[in-house]
Amino acid sequence: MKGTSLTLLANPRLEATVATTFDVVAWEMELAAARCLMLDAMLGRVMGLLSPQQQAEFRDGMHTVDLLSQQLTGLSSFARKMSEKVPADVSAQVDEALGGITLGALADRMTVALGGDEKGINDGEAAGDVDLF
Amino acid sequence: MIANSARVVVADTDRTVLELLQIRLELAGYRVFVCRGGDELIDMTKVARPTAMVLDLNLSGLGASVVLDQLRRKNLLNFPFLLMGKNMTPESLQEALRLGARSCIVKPFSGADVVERVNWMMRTPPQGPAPILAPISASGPPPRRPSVYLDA
Repeated sequence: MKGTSLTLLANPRLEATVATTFDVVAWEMELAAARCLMLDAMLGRVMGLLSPQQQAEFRDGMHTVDLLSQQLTGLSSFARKMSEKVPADVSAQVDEALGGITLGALADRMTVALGGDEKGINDGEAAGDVDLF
Repeated sequence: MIANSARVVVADTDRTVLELLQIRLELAGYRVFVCRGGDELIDMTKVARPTAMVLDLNLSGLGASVVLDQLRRKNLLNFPFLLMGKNMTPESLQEALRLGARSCIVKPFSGADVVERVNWMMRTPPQGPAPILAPISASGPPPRRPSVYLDA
């Protein structure tokens, strides 16, 4: 089990304002959209290596990646704007929701961004680790 | 596409912001160097010789003000830089101007906004003090989170 899961168990009452939570979700969606753009660029390079028939089959997949990127960018913008709209004094417990994130690096980043660093939760460097247990 | 020789150093404590900006700027054609703290940023600047820099106002370790002052004293601050910050106040904007920032952007922002800002910095030579786009001295508080406050 990675650091975040352990520390959340030890310190299970992590609270954050809803505005901050929207901010953090917006950042993560923005990052996901950027990763989609990177994938799109890689697929574009692969396209050049394919036969015309394969390119035609590949095109739908590329279109889907492009749509996904736009969808994530739109959702990120929505979350960012919502963070400005919600009252600053509304808070919620976030530990249970964070506990449901199985991608270790994502859970770590979000925990720290939601105030976990101030509660002694490690800002680990591990990336891409999946915590299944 | 920007020439390969254009190098951008990005400094922020938040790993999400770092990766987001690295991907976005690399896709725009820049060579990107990232770091998370002020001390590391000074070392990286010496090695990378950046053509532009994007840094958070509240860096961990040595803050942005100290880092920029040190770089200036060592004659290493010969490139445009963009300051990022959360909840920027009129005072922090004045501080950004004092530090010589060409541009400021308020968190949270979209990655596309930062690429646009960096592109602008790279193609626009500094021309002295620039107009402040946000109502720094206007009556009442500034908008809570505009995407861009000022250009310098």
